[in-house]
Amino acid sequence: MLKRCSLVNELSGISLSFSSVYQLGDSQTIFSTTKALAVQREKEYFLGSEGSFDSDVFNKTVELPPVESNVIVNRMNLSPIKVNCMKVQATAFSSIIHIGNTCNVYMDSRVKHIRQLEGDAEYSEEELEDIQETEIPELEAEEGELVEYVEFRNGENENTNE
Amino acid sequence: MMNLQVINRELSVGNIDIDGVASASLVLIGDADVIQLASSFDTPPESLLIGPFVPLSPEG
Repeated sequence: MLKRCSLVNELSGISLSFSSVYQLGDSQTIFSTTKALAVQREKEYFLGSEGSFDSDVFNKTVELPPVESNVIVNRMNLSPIKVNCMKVQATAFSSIIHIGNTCNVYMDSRVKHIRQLEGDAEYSEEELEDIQETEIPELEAEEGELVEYVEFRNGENENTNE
Repeated sequence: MMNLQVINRELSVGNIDIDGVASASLVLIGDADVIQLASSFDTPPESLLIGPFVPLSPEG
């Protein structure tokens, strides 16, 4: 049933990707989910078969607040929705640009970030202790005062400050 | 029970300029009855790996 007109003069975008939608006009139900495993590496090294969606962040159910059902909403749409110009450069990962009325919307995004830096193999336990003990020399500064950038050189700074 | 009477007279948008919309997000010009949005983002300590590049195991 046609409930409310949407008049859009111009809607432009550069990219619309990964199950994203431009919706002009009314809709009834929106159910949109995305799962992403984002791996960043210092050098380009990627295999298509890597990783899985087994971890908690992808599988835990999110508890949503209960929907208040004892409100009766009555709408009178006297005028159409008018949009002159809308520019959205990029729409990605199950996102929706919606011009018009809708009823029920549920959207869920789950992202796990992994960063991998190039370096020597694992640290021994002694090295890990050293890393934790090494303190960055404190530079006292008042709030709002401009502070010169000091390069951290593992203990050498204590001498240069005196 | 509560009765809510909504009268939509004019909804007129001039210009909107957005750089990016991502991760199950919604830009809505109009009405909605129910909106439920959820987002989980995880960067656990073990997500920063330093060492020779090894593929992530398919089991997770």
